[in-house]
Amino acid sequence: MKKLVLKGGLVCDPLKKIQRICDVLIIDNKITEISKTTKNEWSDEFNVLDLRGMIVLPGLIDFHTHLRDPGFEWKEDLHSGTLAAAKGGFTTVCAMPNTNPVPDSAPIVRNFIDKSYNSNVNALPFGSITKGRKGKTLSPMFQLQDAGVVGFSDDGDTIMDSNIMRQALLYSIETKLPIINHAEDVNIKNNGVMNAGIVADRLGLKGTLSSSEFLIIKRDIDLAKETGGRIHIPHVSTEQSVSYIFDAKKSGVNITSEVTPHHLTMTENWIYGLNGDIPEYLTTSAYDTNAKVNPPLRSENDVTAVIQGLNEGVLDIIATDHAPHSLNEKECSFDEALPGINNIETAFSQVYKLVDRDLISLEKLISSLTVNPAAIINRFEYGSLYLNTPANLTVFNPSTYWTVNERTLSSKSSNTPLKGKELKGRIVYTIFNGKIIHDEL
Amino acid sequence: MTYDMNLPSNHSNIDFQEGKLNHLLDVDSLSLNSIENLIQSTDLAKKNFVSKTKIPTLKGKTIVNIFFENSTRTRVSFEQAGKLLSADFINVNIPSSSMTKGESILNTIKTIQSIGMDCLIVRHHHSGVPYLIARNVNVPVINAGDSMHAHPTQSLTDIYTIRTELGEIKNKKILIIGDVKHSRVARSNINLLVRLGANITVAAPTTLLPDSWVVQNNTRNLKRVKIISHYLKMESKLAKSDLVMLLRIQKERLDQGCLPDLDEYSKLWGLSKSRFYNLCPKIYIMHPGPVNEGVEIDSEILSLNNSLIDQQVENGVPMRMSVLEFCILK
Ligand SMILES: [Zn+2]
Repeated sequence: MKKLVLKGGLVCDPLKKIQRICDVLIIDNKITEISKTTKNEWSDEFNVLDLRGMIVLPGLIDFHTHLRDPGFEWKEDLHSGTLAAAKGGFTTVCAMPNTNPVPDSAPIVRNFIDKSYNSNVNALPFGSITKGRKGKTLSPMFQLQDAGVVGFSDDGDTIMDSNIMRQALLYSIETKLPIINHAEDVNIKNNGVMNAGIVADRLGLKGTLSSSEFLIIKRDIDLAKETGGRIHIPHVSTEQSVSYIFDAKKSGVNITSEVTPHHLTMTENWIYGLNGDIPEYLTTSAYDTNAKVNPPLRSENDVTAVIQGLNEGVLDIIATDHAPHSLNEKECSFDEALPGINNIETAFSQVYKLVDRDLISLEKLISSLTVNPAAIINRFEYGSLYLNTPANLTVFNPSTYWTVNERTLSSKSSNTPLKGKELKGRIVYTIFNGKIIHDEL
Repeated sequence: MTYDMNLPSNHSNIDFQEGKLNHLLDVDSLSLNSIENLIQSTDLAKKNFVSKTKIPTLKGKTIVNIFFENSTRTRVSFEQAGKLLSADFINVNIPSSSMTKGESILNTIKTIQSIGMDCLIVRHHHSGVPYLIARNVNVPVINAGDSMHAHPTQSLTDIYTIRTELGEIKNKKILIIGDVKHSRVARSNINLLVRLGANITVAAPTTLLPDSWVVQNNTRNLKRVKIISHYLKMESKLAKSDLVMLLRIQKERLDQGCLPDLDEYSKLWGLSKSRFYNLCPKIYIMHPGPVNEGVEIDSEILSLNNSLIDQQVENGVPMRMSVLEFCILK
C-alpha cells in the first residue's frame, strides 16, 4: 500500500491547536505524522496530493442527520445518506430516530449498527425518547445505551408532556447521554408553516411564532436545572432561545446546543424564491417549498443572534438537520409540503461564507463541526487528527465555485433552496479510515 | 397604532407580467397604469354585460376554470365573463375531498393542459397554489382566490365599485372591519387601496390582526394603515368614514381561540342597526360575501341604498371580462 502525503494545505485541528501550512503523512490508513512545515520533495514511494491553497481538517461530524433508514428509503437510505455525507466532508453522522420502525428497543438499534458497518462513513444511532415517538411512555434508555445509541430524541415531534420530559432527564443523569427535544410547542405553532411575521402575512401563510420554540427551550432548561439532567437543544433558530441558553450555561445547567447551516445563513425571505431578496411583487418563484423547514427560517435579527451565539460559545455545534424529501413531497402547496432541507453536501460551503465575511473565525467554524460534537458523543478520536488511529480527514478548497444540482448531489433527494445556485468553496477530498472516499479533483 | 403591509415603495413601471405571460396572481404586480386601464375597459365591458351582447374578443380561445374549493359565485362570474367574450369555457371542479392521497396538483394540471387551453383560472384552499401552477404551465394563470393570500379579481372589482359609486379613491376614508388576519380579500384590497391613496383604517380584535402587526419588533412599519382594536374606538371611526368594508367571519376562528363566540363578535364589531342609524347613516357598505346576516351586519341594513354589495357582485363580471382580455390578448 502506497504512502499518502497531503501536501502544503492549511492544516486546522482545534483540539490539537494546530493551524499551519504543513504536510500530513498517512501510512497504512493511519496518520503517522503532521509535519512542522511543508516539504517540497517527496520520493516516489509517496502518493502526493498537492493541497496548496486548501484547508485540511479532521473529518466533520454531523450530530443531526436524517438518514431515513429504515422505513423511508425513497427519500434517502444508509448508503446514499452516508455517500452524501462523505461528499459534504463528514466522516461521522448521527442518525435521527424518526424512522420506521422507531429505534425504541435494543434489537432495532443493533440492526441499524449491523447495517452501518457497510456504510460510507461512521453512522451512529440515536434512540427515541419515548416508545414509538408518541411522547407517552419512555423508551428503555439503559438498554438502548448498551446497544450503542449516542443520545435520545423524538425529533420531528416535541415532547409536550412536561412530566415525560422530566422523567427522561432523570434517566439522563445516569446514562449521561443527551436528551434532545425538538423544540416546537404544537399549540402555539397551530399548524404554522413558516416564521410568523411580515413575510408570512404577505404570503398569506400561517405563521409559527418564535415563542413556539423558546417556550419549550425555557421549560426544558428549567427541568434540566431542577433534575440535573443532560440536555441538548437542537436546531436553535430564535434570538430569545439563544438568550435562554446563555442564561442556562451561566447558571451551570448541563446543556449543549446546536444551530443548522440554514438558520445561520438564510432568512424567511428565501421563501420568496429569490435568494433571500425581498421582491417588489411576488414572482412565480414565490412559495419555495424547499425553504420550508421546522423550525422555520427566521428573521434577519434571529440570523444575527444565532451567528453571535455560535461566536460566543452559547451554541456549541453546527449540525445539518439534513432532511431529505422526494420531489413529490415538495412539489405541492406550501401547506402540504413536508418540512426539511437537504443540506449535508452543501453545509460546509454554506457556513464557510460566514468565515469569508469575517462573521466567525475559521477555528470556531471547524470546532463546531469537529471537536465540539466529538465531545458531545464522547469520541474525541472522531473529531481530531490523532496519530496512529484510522485517518479521518476532509479537504476544503475555499476558492473554487460550483453549482448545486441534482446531478452533483449524491443524496436520493434534492430538496434544497440552493438548487441551481452557485456556491463558493467546496469539499474536494474526504478520507475515511485512511481511504479517499470522495475525490472532487 | 399604524402598520404597513410590506408594500412596494416605488411601483410605477411594473406591469403584471412574468416573462411573456400575463398572469394575474395578485394585485401587487399591477402598476397604477394597468389598474387605470382595467377600470376603463371595465366601463366598456359593463355595457355589454348590461345589454347581454356577446362580443367576439376571445372567440376560439379556451378558458379552463379549475376550482379545488367550491365557490359558485366566483366560478359563475368568470364563466359569464368568458362567455360574453365568446370564449369556450371548461369548468373543472375538484373538491379537496376527492383529491386522492398522493395525487398531486401538478398531475391534475398536466392532465388538463393536454386538452389544450389559453388561460387557466385557479381557486385553491392553500395559499400560493396559483404560483406553483404558473411555474408549471405555459398559459396565463388567473388567481381566483388562494386561501388567506389573495383574491385579485374581487379586489379589482371592489376598486371599480368604489370608483363608480364614490368617485376618486384618493383620500377616501375607508374602514375595514373584521378578520384581516385570515382574509385574502382584505390583503389584496389594502394593497390596492393604499397605493391608490385611500385613507385606510383596520378595526378588529387583536386576535384577528396579522402577526406582524401585533408583534412589536416589526421594524418595517411604514405607517400606511391605521389599526384599531377596541370596539369603542371603532365606533368613533365609523362616524368619520366614507365607506366601511365588512369581512366575513369564518366559524373555524372560534375553534382557534380567536373569538369567544359569534354573539360577542356581533355585539362588539357588527354593524348593528343602532350603530348604523346613530353613528353613520350615510356610510357606504361593502362586504365580499357571503354575509353572515346578524353577525357582521344587521340584515335590515343590507336592503338600504347604502349597501354596495349587489354592485360588488354585478361589477365582478365586467371586471373579469377586462382581466381575461388583458391576460389572454395583451
Ligand atoms: Zn427537529
